[in-house]
Amino acid sequence: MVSGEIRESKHNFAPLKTGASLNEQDLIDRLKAGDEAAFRELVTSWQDMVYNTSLGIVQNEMDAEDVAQEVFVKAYESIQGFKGESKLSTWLYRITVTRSLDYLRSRKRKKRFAFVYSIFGENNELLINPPDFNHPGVQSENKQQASELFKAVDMLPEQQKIAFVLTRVEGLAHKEVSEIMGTTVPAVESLLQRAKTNLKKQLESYYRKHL
Amino acid sequence: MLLPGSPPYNISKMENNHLEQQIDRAMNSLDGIQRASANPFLYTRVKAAIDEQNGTWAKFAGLFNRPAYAFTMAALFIGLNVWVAVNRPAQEPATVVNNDGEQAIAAEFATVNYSMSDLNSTDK
Repeated sequence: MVSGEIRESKHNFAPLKTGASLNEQDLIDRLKAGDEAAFRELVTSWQDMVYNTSLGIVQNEMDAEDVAQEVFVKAYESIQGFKGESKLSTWLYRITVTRSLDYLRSRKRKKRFAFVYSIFGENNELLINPPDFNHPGVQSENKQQASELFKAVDMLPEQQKIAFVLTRVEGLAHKEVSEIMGTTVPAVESLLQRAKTNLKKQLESYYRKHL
Repeated sequence: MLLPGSPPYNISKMENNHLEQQIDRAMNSLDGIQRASANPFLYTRVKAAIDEQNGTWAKFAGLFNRPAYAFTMAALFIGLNVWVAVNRPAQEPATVVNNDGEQAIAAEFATVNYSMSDLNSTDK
């Protein structure tokens, strides 16, 4: 897939003015009525989208699974408050991004205390230097470079990271990214431009040391 | 003009070109990326997490985990304590029991209990 290309949704929902399709509206109604089959449909239909987005942000497969689980639990709990002003996928993307960022912040806090734990001999699971992240969807000939790129992505400011992951890892169009991030298309373009500049700087620094 | 010890211009340029190529390769390394697939048992995990959350005790504990409830309960507890402290009924003055008469009767009829050791000591 070429960067910036709009990835076709698995769902054949025709968009309505409100952002929700007829099929989607039916699914939402069933979810609000507590239909378990509808919830299973929601999870199975969007689990890869949620997992892949989270994986791009947290860069760890176990953590991404935990985040995906939390996202669907949160969706189950707050479906009554979903007004249908945006597409269900946009709503799920927002929850995923928020949860993933919360997860990263929590991991950073734990890292700060990792040194203290180590003094007291605590056998904790914290990884001060986590292993290189390899996204399973990257083409085999690009694995090494992608791993180096993800290291640089991890150092980006939050907003730039989200814009980059949604565009390059999830393959969303700038308009969709702007809807998820609650901003404008030019703002997303600006974030992506800054992300690109920062990534190049990080990579240059890395390659100067390692080449 | 090159400084003594500095690499020849061509080598430096080649290095820079190589560096730029590496950066470009890394920047384009996500081209053709496929979406990663989630654990096929994710729904089971999600369902189990929801069922666990819906347990009676978990609901009860979850209620107190919410800051709004926790602060409300703390405020209620403090408020009740203050209310009790402010509205405590006035303490009645200590009553002085006049038992002079009883003491006089006890002395008159020698109703004081002596222990055996007291009696033995008086015998001596």
